[in-house]
Amino acid sequence: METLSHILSVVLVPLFFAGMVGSLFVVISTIVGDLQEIFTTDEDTESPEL
Amino acid sequence: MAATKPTIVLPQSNRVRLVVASSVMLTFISFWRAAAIVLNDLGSSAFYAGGLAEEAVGKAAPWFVLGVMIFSYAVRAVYVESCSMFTRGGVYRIVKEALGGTFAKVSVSALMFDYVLTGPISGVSAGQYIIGMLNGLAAYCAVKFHWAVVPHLRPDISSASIAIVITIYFWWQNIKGIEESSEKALNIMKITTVMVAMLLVWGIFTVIHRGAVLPPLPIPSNLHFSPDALGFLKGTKFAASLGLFGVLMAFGHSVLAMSGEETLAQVNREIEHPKLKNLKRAAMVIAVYSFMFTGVCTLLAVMIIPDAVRVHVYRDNLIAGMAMYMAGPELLRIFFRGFVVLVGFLILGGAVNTAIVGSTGVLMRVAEDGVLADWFRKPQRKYGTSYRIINLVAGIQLLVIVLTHGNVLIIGEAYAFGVIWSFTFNALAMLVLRWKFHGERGAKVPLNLRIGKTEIPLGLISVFLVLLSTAIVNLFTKSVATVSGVIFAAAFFVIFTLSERDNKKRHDLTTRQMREHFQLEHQDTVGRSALEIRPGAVVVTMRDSATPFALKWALTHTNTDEQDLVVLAARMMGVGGPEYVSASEQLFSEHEQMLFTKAVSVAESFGKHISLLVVPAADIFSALVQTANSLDAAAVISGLSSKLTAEEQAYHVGQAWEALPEPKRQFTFYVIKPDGESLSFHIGPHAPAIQPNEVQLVHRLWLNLRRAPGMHDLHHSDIITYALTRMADEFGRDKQETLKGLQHCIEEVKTRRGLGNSRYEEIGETGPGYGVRARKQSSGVQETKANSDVVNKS
Repeated sequence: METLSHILSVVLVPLFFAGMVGSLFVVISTIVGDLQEIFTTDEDTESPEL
Repeated sequence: MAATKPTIVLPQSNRVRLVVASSVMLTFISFWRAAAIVLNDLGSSAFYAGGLAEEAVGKAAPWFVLGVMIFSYAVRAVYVESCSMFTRGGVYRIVKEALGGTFAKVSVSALMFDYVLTGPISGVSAGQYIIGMLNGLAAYCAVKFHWAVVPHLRPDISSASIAIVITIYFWWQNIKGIEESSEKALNIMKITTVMVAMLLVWGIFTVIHRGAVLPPLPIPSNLHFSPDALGFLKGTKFAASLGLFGVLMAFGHSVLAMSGEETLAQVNREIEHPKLKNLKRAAMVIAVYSFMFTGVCTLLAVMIIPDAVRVHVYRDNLIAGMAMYMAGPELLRIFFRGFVVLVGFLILGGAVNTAIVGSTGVLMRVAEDGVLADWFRKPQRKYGTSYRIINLVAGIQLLVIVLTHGNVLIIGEAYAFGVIWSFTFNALAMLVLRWKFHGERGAKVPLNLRIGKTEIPLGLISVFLVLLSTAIVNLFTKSVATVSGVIFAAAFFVIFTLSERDNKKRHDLTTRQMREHFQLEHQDTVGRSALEIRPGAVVVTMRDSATPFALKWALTHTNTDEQDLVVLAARMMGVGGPEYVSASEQLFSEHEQMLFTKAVSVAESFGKHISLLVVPAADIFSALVQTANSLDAAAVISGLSSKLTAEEQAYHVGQAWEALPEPKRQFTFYVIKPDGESLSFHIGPHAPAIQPNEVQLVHRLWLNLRRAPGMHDLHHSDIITYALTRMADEFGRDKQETLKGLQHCIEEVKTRRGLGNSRYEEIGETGPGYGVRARKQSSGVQETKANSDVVNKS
């Protein structure tokens, strides 16, 4: 378990924090984009849905 | 008034035409209601997530809960992208598209674990709030009134008992088929909003008033894991120096706070136009609300409740503890705690129902795909619900409550397993679909790097990495969750795999038999041309092959040479079902085969022709009305419901008719009782039944008024128009006076009715029911023909 824990730590910690940084950008971009879109009128055309 | 067009020549086949529609009959809701439904699930976690997180990681927990709430917006962006590709972009559909059936079964097993455990954790948590308050009140009274003995209920056992009662209550409601009401969800969220606003305002005031300090920052040195929170790492040297790995672990112990995201995917198909924009609006409302409620309230709770009692006493009812330690008079705080408990009971009780409905919906969805045996889909004889699936879900939930003795910590740990793994599978599938699916998307998770023709979805990869790393860490740090989750998911996976194999053989046989007996025709939408029927047809609903009394009544009263008769079978898709079901996905169960065979044999016994129609539906009344409108039907006939009165059935049909977009036509709705008695209701605006004395009154007025100069061209209708216009004016000016006068008029009419003047009409004499004519039964028993007044709001 000790070895496995160390390997997990070495692999997962960078992935987690890199993912967190990216996710933070996702959150900011999504909020900005959503705010811009949802306050436009409903008559605007939507992208097609499947 | 029967249709006069010549009879259309039927197809040259002795098989009955059976049209299977692909478009599901839906009713749509606003983004506020959609957000309320999701928040009933997601918001309920605020009542227990903070306490459980602090128990696991220490006083820095609120920062992680806040972090999870911010990260949940990124997870929601993944769901929004999936929903923009497939109207119901839930885990099962997405994973199946991306990774195939086997992965879909694994992911749906994890999702089931999530959904099933939502019930026990919410029920037990509701119990904890109630028992906590009762024990607190007992202690308060003991001090106040000098009681020698302080009554004390054991929180775990008592909470488990309350959870069992709540689960059994909602199990029974679901067996009876209570309707999912977005109105109810919205009302619960309104009262919850009042509580959240009070918590925030009063909480911030308390913090400023007392000069409370923020919890320690979420850095490795401030993390203090409980022995249970170390899971399989307990006792290792590694556990003594976790470093940044501890931050990852702490995040994993807080993911419970974002449970309920899948509900967004389930509710998406019901969101009204413009769907994507409204979905984003709902996502925004959910994000702000859950951040303020789950995130900020947890932070305030840690700042307000003293360390000595916060985890020890209020771990499982943190919000109640917050209420009790606000600044202000004690009695006011006790009342506020009562309010918190009431709101908690409502929202957590609602989450128990959501768990049963959601689990049932997921299982129905996989059953429709042939992954679950037909045995599970068999409808309950009396109520028509999928009782075997409901029994299975409620049975597992009760078993969890009993096995854990109502321990929120154990259930919460296990619950997190389902939550994180279903998210991870969804994000992985969406990542695969970025390369595999080249169709148009309404929305994309942002942060996409384009190099030449290749697009690298950095944002989606980031979200997936966080979810995957957290899920893997949780496998090691949540031993109970890992063991129970793996056993549960494996058991469900085996059931799904075996069922699918067995089902394939059965469905192949059923489909072959269906093709032999029926002329199957798949159509995207329902229309007269597909069924080759004339306007003014009669639609009859049929649910159970054992009780075709409505069909028999319809065949007795319809001349099928003049009026076409369509037997409608609604295929209920369950909560969160798809919006469109392709022909290849429409598998016929043995029950449906029996239903259609019976309908044909009954029609043959009358020597009359019928058409068969299957429509996938989310709501039976909406499906009925939409089908009647699409077919230009003059009458709709239905058997008496086992749970609604005829008037209630008509009311729901009327409501569904009101919700229909224009153009729409009126029809007569007949409810047939098992003994053959019929009741009819006009749906939509229609000419009112006018009594002879009222006609006399109009005529006398006409005679008098016509004598006046310039009134030679006066018609009877002018008098009615003038009277109605004046009444409308009067109503506009003085609503109360008009209503008073109208009430007086109704009383007078009632009195006259009592003297023998009936306002009821004979079926077929007026109204749009035309061809369906009531007649005296041969047995000599006269049918009741109560053409009630307009059912809809017109």
